[in-house]
Amino acid sequence: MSRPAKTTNDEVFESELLPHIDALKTFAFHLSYDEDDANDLVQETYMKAHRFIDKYEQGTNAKAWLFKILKNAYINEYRKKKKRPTRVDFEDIVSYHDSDDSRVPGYLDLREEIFASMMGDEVTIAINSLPIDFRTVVLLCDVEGFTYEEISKIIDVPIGTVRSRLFRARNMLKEKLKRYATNLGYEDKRGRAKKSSEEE
Amino acid sequence: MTNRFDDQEMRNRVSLFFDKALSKEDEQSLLTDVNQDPNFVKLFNQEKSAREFIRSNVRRPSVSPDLIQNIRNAYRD
Repeated sequence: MSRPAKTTNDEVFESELLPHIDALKTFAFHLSYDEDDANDLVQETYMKAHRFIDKYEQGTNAKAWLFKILKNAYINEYRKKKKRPTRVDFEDIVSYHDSDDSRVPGYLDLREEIFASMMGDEVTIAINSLPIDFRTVVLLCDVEGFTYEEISKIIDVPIGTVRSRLFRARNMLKEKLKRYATNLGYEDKRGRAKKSSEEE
Repeated sequence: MTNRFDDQEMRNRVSLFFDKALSKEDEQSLLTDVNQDPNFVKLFNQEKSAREFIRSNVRRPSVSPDLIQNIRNAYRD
């Protein structure tokens, strides 16, 4: 005999949806920059998930489904409400159209010594200073561990665009972190030895 | 001995590995190649540390019990 639908939905909520609340809050916080707005976004996400629970297939990727709802809620409600259009500078447009999707930068040119010189908040500040589209892919890939395919579905763009945004976002992030490290007194001496030996 | 081309290719493969964008076979092949060259081991560990640093240093605000309770209440109404 099948259980009443409400009980099943409650079970799905407790076992599959609620466990992602911490990750959703982190994502919401970095989108909105505000703790109260982040709480509202998370609450709204769960309300929408409740409304559309019939569209969710039990046992599938609940986390990606919730992130997509949250991202759409942010775009639909918060951006409209605050009338804050996305600022895209010329360089960003060029990088979109001129992107090479085979490029996949990591963080390899960030030296471990840089990490040691930082207090911790620099990563948050650097991520939050990225333009929204770039911030989103870094949060989804590097913070939450989603695959390119999952990110592509969450933000509704082709995988090639996910990769090119990641390429650009990671480069921006590396530059910001290096700048913080320099300001904190860390000096990257790589290349200097080679250069001085060439000069001799 | 690694050359510049190998190094660039390896950087790409290592990034794809940590992005979970390689097939199982390619992952295995990467790990085999990494273990055969100390330069690749260094490169691999550097990328791993950088990613861990970013993941562990990003601010993760806590979720209050009130928020969870509000959501539960609204959900059950």
